Amino acid sequence: MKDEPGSTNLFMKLDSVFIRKEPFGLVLIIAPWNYPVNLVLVPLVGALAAGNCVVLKPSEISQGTEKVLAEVLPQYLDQSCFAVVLGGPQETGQLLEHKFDYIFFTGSPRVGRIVMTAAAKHLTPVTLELGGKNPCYVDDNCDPQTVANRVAWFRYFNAGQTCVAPDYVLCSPEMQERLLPALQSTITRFYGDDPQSSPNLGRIINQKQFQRLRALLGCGHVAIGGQSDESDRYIAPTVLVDVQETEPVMQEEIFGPILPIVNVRSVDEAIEFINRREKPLALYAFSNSSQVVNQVLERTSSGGFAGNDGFLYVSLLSVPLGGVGHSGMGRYHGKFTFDTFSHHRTCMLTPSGLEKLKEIRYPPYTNWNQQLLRWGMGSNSCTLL
Amino acid sequence: MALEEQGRHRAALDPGSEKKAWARELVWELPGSREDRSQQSRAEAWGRSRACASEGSMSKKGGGGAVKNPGAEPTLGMDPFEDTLRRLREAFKSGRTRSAEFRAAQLQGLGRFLQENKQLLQDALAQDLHKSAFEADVSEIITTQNEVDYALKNLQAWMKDEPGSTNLFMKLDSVFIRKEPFGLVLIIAPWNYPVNLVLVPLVGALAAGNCVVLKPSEISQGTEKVLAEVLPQYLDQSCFAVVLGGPQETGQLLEHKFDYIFFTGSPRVGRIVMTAAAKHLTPVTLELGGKNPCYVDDNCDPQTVANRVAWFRYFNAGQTCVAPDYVLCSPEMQERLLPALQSTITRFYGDDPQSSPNLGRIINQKQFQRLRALLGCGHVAIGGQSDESDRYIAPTVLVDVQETEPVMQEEIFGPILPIVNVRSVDEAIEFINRREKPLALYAFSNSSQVVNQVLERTSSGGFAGNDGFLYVSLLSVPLGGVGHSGMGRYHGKFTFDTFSHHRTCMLTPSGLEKLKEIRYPPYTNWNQQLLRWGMGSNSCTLL
Repeated sequence: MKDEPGSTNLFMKLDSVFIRKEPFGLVLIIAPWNYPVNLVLVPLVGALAAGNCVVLKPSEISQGTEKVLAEVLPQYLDQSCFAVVLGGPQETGQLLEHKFDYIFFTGSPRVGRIVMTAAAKHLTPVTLELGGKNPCYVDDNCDPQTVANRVAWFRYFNAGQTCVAPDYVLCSPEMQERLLPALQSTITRFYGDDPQSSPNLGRIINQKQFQRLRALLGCGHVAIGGQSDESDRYIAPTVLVDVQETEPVMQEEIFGPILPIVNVRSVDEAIEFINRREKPLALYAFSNSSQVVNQVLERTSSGGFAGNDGFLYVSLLSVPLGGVGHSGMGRYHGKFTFDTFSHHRTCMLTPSGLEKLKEIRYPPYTNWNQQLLRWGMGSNSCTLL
Repeated sequence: MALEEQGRHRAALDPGSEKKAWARELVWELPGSREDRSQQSRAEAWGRSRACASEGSMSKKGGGGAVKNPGAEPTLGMDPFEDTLRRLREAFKSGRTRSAEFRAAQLQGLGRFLQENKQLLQDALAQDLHKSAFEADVSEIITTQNEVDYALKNLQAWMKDEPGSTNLFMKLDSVFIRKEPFGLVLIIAPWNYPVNLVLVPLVGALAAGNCVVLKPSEISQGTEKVLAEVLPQYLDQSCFAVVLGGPQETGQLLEHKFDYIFFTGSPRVGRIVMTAAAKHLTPVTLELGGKNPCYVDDNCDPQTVANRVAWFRYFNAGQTCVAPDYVLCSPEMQERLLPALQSTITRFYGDDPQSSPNLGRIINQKQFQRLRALLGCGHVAIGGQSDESDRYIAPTVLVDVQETEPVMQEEIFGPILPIVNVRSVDEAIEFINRREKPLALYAFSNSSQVVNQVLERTSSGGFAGNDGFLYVSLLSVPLGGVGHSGMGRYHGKFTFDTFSHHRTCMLTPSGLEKLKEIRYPPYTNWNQQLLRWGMGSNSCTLL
């Protein structure tokens, strides 16, 4: 909350210049269903810390959590400054017609556009945490088992319903041959021979998502998994191969426990493939060669990047989580959330007297005045102080 | 040919240039009714940018576009911007703009442009706004040069990865934030500080490694010409372009996808820009405007206040987004302030301000007519003269002004200062808070407690106690709005950050898998406890 001092120039040495962090006012947080506690409450932390009044709109799809947030959470906060509002797309549309001083939205790019368009009417600034297809390049030069462990853990965590999860793998056919048995081994190790009975595997949030994912199982060929159980909204940890770029599984964000592998012949081809598509929220590169990892990092763009591991960085408080392009705008976590929900107001306090010192800037100007003012304003003069 | 007729004629020749509803809005971007437009103002507004169209090229080239001259972009095909934008995108993809050397070279080029064309720029600013060479220097050329120098000096530091601290489980990992260019960025600039407000954003955009499209204002024609014809010669034209045109062309331009849009202008057009940006999920900075209140406490020295308020109000003939727009003070204070203001105005501009070299002119007929109409609000206490042939409006103070009158409804953007009476600082604060958040807010008082009261109980882009908008010349603090006055901020490093995507990166050793094993299922109780503890914030304090 502290004011941040700013340095002054020659003519402003007696002034106090600082940046003051102020709340925007009434802010709206719209949260999704996949991490329904985290993705509604972590923004809330920053919004409250920044001194705003907050309206939370949790997802109506994660009904259990919605109930707890609506009924229990308000009891712990000052309800004159905080409210939870409920509803589906229609109610959210109505809500968005109102003027807010900031809108923080986590969800799909499609709805992100709707939110930003609504915000534009009121000139409301926004943070949009969106999604995309997060590529995962696997170099020939790597240990398949290590890679399989790391990729699988982050892919199947929460049954794949994670905005930063690796969405698809890019590797050579040779690498694919080595990766598939490793992935099978990993999946069996993590979830047992009957993953459906594992306590460590999640379920799909609802029927609509389940049907969507089940349809994706028809793309390419199932190399691992492929089972599903409608009554349980269960989809097995699946790996698909022989997948075409035009198939649905490569056209939309998967958001499920399905990992397609697309073949490329080189890291250059992988980078080209990635850059033909919308900028993702996360991007992964696995290689024993740090040079290859850095190649991918330097020649692509994404919200965040991890070399040789998954999205661990989202748990760090010192670095931000945010998208770029279609994966979003703005960022948060830790201090970044506080800054997101604060207006940084430049303030300058001058003594009310000492007018004699200010006289030099008033017209009419003598040549001497003009020269002195020009010099004083130039960047050379600043180095003397 | 009337504006509307031109549009229909163009649309008839080329269905591709059909106006979209929101592009239509852009045509009326400035306050004032359509009927007020004189033939002269139309010619002024469309003038040179229609030169291309009038050459009979409309049938081939669609809805107008860039001016045909050696330095500007050729227009081909239905969409005049398509080729330019494609070319710049290709250049960005090639990685040309990424290296520090390239960026520094661009900044140096920009610096040379300023140094070698000082006279040209001063002449253009004199032509557009009757700016004296001195005013052009201090408010545009020197400020921009400072930004260029500052960026060159700090480029390496700004480009550096910022390390992030890790938790217990990530001690072997390298975590950092890398600053990366967004890609192809668009800067739309206004006419009131047509050098500063297009080039200062450009400094940050170039420093950040982007390819840049500049869309200077077609209203400040002298400056537009210099920017279109001379500036590109100093920059790598495969990565930089100036595009020209009026509201319709700008609307067309905005249909394209950019990776960032930086807009300076009115809130009304700001909405249009943000709505267009939303279609492509393009992030924006909007530097808008508003009515900047200026509270003058009873406890102050009237002459000091008059000097300070007048200087910032009448600078550039009031055409400054951060200028004090109106004064709030008690009737008693008003009595003391008026003679002080008259004294100041006479001192600054002489008995015949119209002949002073230090007073600017209104940019065009349309704005002039708009301002002249405002002179009818309340009563003229000081000034009130105008001269249409010179687009001159005298430094004016209005009193007895009602909140409902036009002068208190729209951003004045001219050398007119209305005084509204309030009975206390509380009433002033209440008045201010009933209205949209302004870009700047001023409070004058000998009592720092009063100044702090105003600061603490209001919201605005920036704030100054006992002086004007000097802070906008500082490189260490940002300029930006809030609410209707805008979103985002820039100047100095803030511009670089505005035009950069801050990408969180984590590099892990590819081996040492044994250390990672603990996080994999199936979990033993012990595993779970350790992981929970390790992730918790208490564990971080041990390291």
